[in-house]
Amino acid sequence: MEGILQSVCSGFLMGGVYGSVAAGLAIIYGVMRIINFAHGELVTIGMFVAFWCSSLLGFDPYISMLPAGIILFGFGYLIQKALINPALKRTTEREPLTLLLITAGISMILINVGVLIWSDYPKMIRTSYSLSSIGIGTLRFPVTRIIAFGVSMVLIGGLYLTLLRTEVGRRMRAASQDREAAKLMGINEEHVYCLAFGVGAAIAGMAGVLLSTIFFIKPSAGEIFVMRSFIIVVLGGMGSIPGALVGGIIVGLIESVGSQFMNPVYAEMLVFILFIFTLLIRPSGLLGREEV
Amino acid sequence: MMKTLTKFKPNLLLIFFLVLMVIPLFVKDQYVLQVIIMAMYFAYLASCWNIVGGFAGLFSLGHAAFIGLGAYGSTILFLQYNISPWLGMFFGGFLAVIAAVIIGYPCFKLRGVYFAISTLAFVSILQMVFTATRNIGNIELGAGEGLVIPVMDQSFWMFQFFDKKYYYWIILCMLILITVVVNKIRHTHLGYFLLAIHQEQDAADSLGVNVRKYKLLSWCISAFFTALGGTFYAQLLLIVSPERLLSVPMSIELVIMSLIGGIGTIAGPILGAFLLVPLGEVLRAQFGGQFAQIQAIVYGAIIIAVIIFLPTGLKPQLEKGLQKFMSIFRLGLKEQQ
Repeated sequence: MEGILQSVCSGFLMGGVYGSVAAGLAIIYGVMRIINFAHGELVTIGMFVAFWCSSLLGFDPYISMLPAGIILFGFGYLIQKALINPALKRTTEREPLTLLLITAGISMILINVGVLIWSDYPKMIRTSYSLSSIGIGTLRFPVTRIIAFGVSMVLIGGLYLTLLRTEVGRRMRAASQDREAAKLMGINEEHVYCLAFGVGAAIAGMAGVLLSTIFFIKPSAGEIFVMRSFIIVVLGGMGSIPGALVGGIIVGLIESVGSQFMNPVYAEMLVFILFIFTLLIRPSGLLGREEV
Repeated sequence: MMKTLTKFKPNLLLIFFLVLMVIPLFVKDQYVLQVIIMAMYFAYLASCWNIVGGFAGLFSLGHAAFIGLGAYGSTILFLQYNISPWLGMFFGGFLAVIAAVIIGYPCFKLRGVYFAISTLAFVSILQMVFTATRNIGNIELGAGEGLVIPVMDQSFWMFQFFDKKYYYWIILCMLILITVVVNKIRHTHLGYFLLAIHQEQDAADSLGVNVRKYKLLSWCISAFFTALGGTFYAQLLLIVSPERLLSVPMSIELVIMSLIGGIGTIAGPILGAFLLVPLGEVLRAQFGGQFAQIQAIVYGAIIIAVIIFLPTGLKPQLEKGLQKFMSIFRLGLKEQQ
């Protein structure tokens, strides 16, 4: 019983972090209808920024959230401006499916450049609190995971409020609801797309910093987050930020509690099966708008 | 005679196949043959993908599932019951059709990106199942290490040869077969229905096209032929492993080849495969070993460049160039007269 309670709690904590990675994907999908296959690599870049900041400059890894956010915002903005916007302009299709292969190409390039330069040898960040944990009753919570969960909630909440309350957020929502109408209302859609990709990338990068104290750091570290983020985004509702959080926690719980009862591979499979059922029964996701 | 010559429009694909038939008569180098075999193999698979991805607009990222089922189907029959892979091939194809119905029937409700990622998820599930399962009852699946086909004597019936040229002939026949099939689909009512569904599904539906039926039909045809390719691959390498065969990158590779050649054209996927496979080999020869990643980096850059600058693929561009060349050629002929 205690084991189950412990795994529920750690699944919940981990799920929150998954949620923030997926929220970055959700905003990119929500605004542009493009699935970002390079999302995992953006997380990896965040992890590497944290690693360099702490190993070369001696910063606490969490301080590097600021540079990671700025660097990845710029990177995402540039990807959209230099690669995806020109392709979007040429396509006549409503759902530009071939465009998602651009992000697959970016992902291939990023991983392999990383392996070429730094090799795929795993690195770690050691801090004074890496191994410490907080106990409540008989349950133990590693400090790094609690921080990761807490900051993730701030990130998701901040993103949600930005979308809901600010002018930029309103423009993004307008562009996502109706491209043509938004254009007619004088919204510079290309600029909005760049901003959306930038913000999505920045969230991924900052989540990467949070994950850098939990996982090994290597160029292919982000791979496992890509498919998981797709699933979370579909579960929660494509483009919905609160949906990403709910989806993330569901996936985190299934993974962690499922592994208590069965081979972890089958627990992972359970996540995929849930994903397919969601697509069939409620393709718009748990918290998504009806639109499919 | 001059008149026929000036009107002559060369069927490049036919010429291309004739050249491929002649090559093994002169080329004995096993490495060169192997590269052409791989190019033909991917041309075959990309053509299979094109039936759904190009014609029907079902942007599948799950074709690796069918490749894997084809390979596992024939290999399991061979290892367990010593049944010839030639028969096993059809068993693999049968498995793939069943999987196609299971995947396709529910997923056809979904459109665009949703369809693409749900097919992707199916590949991931299959990969996990095959990686985690050592055996079902007394049928060996080999888990992550996969299945190894023991080397036997050279025998057509057992689909094993020491000389690459036999594989060459087999895959060439398969490639010609799939091209004929694709051509047939393209120019019969099935092809027209598929294109209609691709362009405007709701309009096709309201005009009385049974959308689901034709989608499913094309999906099953594509899955069946893709699985045959899987058996060929298993016999060529004599190993079946979930890590490579049932992988998402494998799925994406077929799409990329079709895309570079030209999605929805008959020659496009073949062109794409014959450009990318040799390019990959050249890069590997140049930068192999320590710089093996350069191949993937160049691949990635090519994909991005093609999508941005040639969204319809290379084939239409080549055709335009050829027409220009032919018109100059014809002009020259007329002047001689």
